[in-house]
Amino acid sequence: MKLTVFNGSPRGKSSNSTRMIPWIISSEGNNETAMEEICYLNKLSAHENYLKKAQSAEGFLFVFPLYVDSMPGITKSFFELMEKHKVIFSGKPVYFIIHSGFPEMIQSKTLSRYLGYFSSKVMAMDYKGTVIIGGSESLQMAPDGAYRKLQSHLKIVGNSIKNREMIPDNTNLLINKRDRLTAFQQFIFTINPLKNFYWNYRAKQQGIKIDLTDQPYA
Amino acid sequence: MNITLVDGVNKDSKWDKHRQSLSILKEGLNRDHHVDYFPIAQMNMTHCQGCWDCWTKTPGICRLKDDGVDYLKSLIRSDLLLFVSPVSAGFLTSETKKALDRFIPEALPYIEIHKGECHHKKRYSHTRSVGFVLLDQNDIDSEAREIIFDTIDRIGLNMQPESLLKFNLTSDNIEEIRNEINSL
Repeated sequence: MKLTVFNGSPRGKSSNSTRMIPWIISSEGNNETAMEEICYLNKLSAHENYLKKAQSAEGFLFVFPLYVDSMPGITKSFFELMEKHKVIFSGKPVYFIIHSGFPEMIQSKTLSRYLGYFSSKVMAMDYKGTVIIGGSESLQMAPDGAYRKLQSHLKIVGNSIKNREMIPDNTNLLINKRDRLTAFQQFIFTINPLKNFYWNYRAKQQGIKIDLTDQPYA
Repeated sequence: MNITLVDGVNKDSKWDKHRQSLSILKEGLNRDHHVDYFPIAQMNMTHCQGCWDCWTKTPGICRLKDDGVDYLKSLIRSDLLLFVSPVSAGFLTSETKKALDRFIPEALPYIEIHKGECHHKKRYSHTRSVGFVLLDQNDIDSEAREIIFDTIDRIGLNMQPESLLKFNLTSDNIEEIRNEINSL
């Protein structure tokens, strides 16, 4: 299948979405999926041009982060453009991968429901499912080797794309285990050094002492 | 009451009726309150770039030096942050979403457990109510409205407002909405 991939991350090429895309479509045995150039939706001026690429596509994959409880504004902007050109997309299969800094799947479920609604009801596309990935901000710190399990689960998605099939129902549970944190996991998140580690580490990289709780407009 | 009013109507003429209905609401609010008005589509305000500078480099300050700075400053004084949006492609408009995304410096990067879920801590102790008004010109599908209202509930979990308001503004309920806002 000739696939057009939309990277809807505000960070564009340097995003966690960029890192995940080869885990999905370079999957083993997925050689029949021909990926066109990746379309970065943070380049607003390129959106009209992306529509032209979409015309010759046989299917679509969107990868983007949960952003203030829904899709990033740049991605919503492209959805609005898609709505004006439904005929380009109508009837074609579409897959979504949404990832979130929050660890729980529940945070992304309403967005997942919207994506089903948007692609089926608004766009008359062939909706093939949404994969939710929690805790994705950790990708900024860890090497690929730390994500072997996730990579193997995303291979399943790659195979679904290759075969134009629905994403298997259990994929999100395989990746996230459950909707919400367990009581023990909630407890872990109350331990300050653990929950703040990543952000303090990022602040330290600036080379000067920074108070992340600063209130500049108070 | 200080109101930060976010006009999320997209630019095209397709939305003229929605703009008109927002304008009537705005006039009413102006009579009773101090309103900081932000017509996002007409402002020099770009989309959040996801750089996290506002969390880890210049805490609370966005790297984008555009009209978004005034919007952020208004939030600190505001008793009600009110988003007004038509529904496009089955959801809040991209202009409304842009304003929501530019809210990020208002949160701390740090996480706390709130109602059993991970959420970002608030940067300022200042509390405000948050409201959403959907501009309904008989063009909102019931499923879309349900999904949007569910999304607003999730936004409420993250913003942790004093009150969370959700309205559907039609041609005959403007006074009802004004009264509810005035009663805050």
